[in-house]
Amino acid sequence: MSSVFDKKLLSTYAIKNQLGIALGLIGVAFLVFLGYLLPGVSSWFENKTLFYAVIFIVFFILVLGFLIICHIVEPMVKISQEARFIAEGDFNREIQLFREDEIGQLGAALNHMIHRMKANVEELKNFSQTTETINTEINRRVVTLSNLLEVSNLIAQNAQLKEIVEIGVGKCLSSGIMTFAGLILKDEKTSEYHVFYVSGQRSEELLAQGIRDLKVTLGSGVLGKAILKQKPMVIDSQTGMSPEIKEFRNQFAIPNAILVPISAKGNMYGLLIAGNDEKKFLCSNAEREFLQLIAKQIAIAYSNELLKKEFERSDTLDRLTGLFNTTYIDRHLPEEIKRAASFQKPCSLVLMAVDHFEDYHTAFGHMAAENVLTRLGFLLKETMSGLDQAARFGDHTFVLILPEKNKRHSIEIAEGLRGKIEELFSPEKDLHKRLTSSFAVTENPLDGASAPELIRKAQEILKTALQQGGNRVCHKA
Amino acid sequence: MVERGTINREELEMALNYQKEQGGLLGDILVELKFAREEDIAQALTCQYGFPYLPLSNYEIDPDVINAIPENVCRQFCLIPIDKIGKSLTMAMVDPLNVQAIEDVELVTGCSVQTFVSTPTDIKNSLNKYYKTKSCSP
Repeated sequence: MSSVFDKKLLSTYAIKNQLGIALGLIGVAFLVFLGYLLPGVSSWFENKTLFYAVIFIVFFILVLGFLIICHIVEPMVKISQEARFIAEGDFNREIQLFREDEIGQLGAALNHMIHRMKANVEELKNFSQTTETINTEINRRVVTLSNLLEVSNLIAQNAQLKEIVEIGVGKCLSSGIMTFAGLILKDEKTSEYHVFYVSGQRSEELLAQGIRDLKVTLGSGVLGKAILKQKPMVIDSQTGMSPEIKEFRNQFAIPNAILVPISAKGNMYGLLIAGNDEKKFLCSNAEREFLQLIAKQIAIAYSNELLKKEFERSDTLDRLTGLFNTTYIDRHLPEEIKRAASFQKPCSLVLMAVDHFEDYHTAFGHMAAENVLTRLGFLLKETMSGLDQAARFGDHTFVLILPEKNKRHSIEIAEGLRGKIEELFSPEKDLHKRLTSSFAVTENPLDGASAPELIRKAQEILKTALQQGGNRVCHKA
Repeated sequence: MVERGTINREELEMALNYQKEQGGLLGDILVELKFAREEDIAQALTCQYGFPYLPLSNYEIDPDVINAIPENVCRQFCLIPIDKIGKSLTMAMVDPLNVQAIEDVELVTGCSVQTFVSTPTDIKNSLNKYYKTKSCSP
């Protein structure tokens, strides 16, 4: 209380004194003027009673003057004090003066100024926060972009899939939010899904526990369902505890995870897992988007790897005709038969031979014979549609694989081809150059359950067709 | 089946993704993923296309009729002959829309074919019972 009083005194020292002196001088001037106007005034002092009365009136006037000074100074002291608080940054102050004179107006103006300043400061604060958020977001995006660029560079440099995966999965941990990351990839030979790589917290422990042996079945469990759903799946503090979620959390020893499928052009390749063990973790959109980008990069790397391998074994074309060769048939026919069985559909195999081709070769030479084969290759390629494929099977024999076509349909195709081949060579003037062809039509399952069985059956039928004079389509009734 | 509420859209999409990845018939996949029962699939075919449904569990088939179609053909197309009168053969199959299979049976038997819908399990059990083999996978 005393300090406030001191402050008041100090703050008002000059103005209070100056007002006191001014009032005193006015009083003295008034007395001098009174003495001048009333020369008999000195006689008042002879009368004691009158003298005391004058003294009392003077004292009363002085007290009254002092009170008026206080009435003027007090609000100014208050304003001065509040101004000091405001100057120190406290905008919650308010000057409460219930007066309508100039001092009251000054107080109201100051209050208005305080409100304006407060609003401005709030606005500045908000702006600062927005700027900070934007800066944080820009930084996050820059880091994300930099991470993605690093992975992209590796892909562009044709790096090994393992290296790209290690870097890519490692980037999932770069934000510091995720403490564990792992990748499940499809084995291209067996089409089974296995844990390919793990990184971060407890990864060593998980590897020691045999996490790589974990078998992921499509459509079963959290992992199998996440792959099939083809959408990111979030397991965080808001996710319920179903038996499947519990099993997942136990398997990977993480309570929270984001599971992002690895896929490209609708083909499923695996699943990216990133997680942590924060108690109240809620997955943000930014984190999910980042993981989706990393998953996309890994999918590109995996597709490239498949293409590379496909290219390495792509020596499946016959150089003369441009059709597939026997290597392709050996690999592809069993796959088609398996596929047919899986879809409860038939798959036909048609064997075709040029009638009396050896005679033609002997009569017209190697070049002419090769020319015939090239023309046939072109015709077959033109005729095949959809899933159908043609291959050169021997010197002058060809194979047609006709998936999802039964014997009736395949006989129609073979008849059509036989007619076209006859037509192709019919303009030849030399009768020996008017080549024809024979066809043997077989079908899985009617004529055999396996590729060798179908080929053997087709060869037998073709032999009979040639023995019967050729230019015909034969099949086993 | 989505319209009937047997499965939802997400389950259908998952099943289609599975089919793209692993192959197989959509009906079998829906059953494998436990989104629907075999009976639901059969009933859907019955409702949508009007094929009559035939539960095979208590149905006795004449051995002569069984011999009309080779076993591997029955297993691959998941069908079984159940009756034959003159040149008319009746058979139960999982997918009565499989025209190629019906044509093949007509080619093999020389008969015209009438089809019933049945569940894969019923057909496989009957095939095992009448062909007396252990393996059932097509």
